[in-house]
Amino acid sequence: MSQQWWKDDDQLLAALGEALRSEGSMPAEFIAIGKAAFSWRDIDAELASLTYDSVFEGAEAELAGARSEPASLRYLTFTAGELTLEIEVTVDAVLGQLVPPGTGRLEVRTADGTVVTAVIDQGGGFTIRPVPRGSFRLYCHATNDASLLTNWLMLQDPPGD
Amino acid sequence: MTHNECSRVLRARKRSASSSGPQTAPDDRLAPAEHWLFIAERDAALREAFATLSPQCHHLLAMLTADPLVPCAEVSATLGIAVADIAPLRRGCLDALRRCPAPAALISG
Repeated sequence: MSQQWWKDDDQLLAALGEALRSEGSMPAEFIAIGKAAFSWRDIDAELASLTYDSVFEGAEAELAGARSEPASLRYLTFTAGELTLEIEVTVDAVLGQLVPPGTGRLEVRTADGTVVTAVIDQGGGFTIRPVPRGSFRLYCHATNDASLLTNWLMLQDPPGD
Repeated sequence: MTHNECSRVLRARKRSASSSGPQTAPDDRLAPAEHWLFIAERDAALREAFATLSPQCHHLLAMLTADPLVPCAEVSATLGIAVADIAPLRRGCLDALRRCPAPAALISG
């Protein structure tokens, strides 16, 4: 039997698209993501690149980024223009540091549309407690108007699992 | 260069979307009923495998398989990934899909 559809990326993607559509309904998660995505359209923040992730130190560097990690100690660094956001994941909180230091506001935006706000102190530090569950992204708005938006992260399984 | 790579990905999508039958058909020699059965099994296996992927892959593949096509710039902005990263991430997600047992069993079986 021909297996070309399986080996070729374009054909596999097309087959996957057909499979997902043939199910008849879009999984609720995608609808939620779509709605959350729309709420970002008016935000003029620079998309931050993930420049460091302690997970990548492992052997499976490329794949590690595409996998959710259990709540363990992890360090991540995001960079957008002049701004750098360093976060450290502990068992019960996410500790962050904005570089260069300065006050501001931090938002944790989860895929279901929930927004949790944290204050960035004078030293550029902030704490998110508890560690967000499920997919989320961080939006950081410094008082000097610089802003940064991270990609989607998943540090803990979504609620209900 | 980066933009071209992304455009290439989308063009390929468009091509296979416009002729999805022949492009993704398992085998032209199959009788209609067998063909239908194969597609049904394949769809179920792909959905099962898809469910095991990471949220990042869910979001990316859902957008890349969306109908109508979603422009690369919108994929980039919505998911917060650079346009240049779309193609390698797509490859990584599809490779992860290939490692899942359900469709792999269908292929080897």
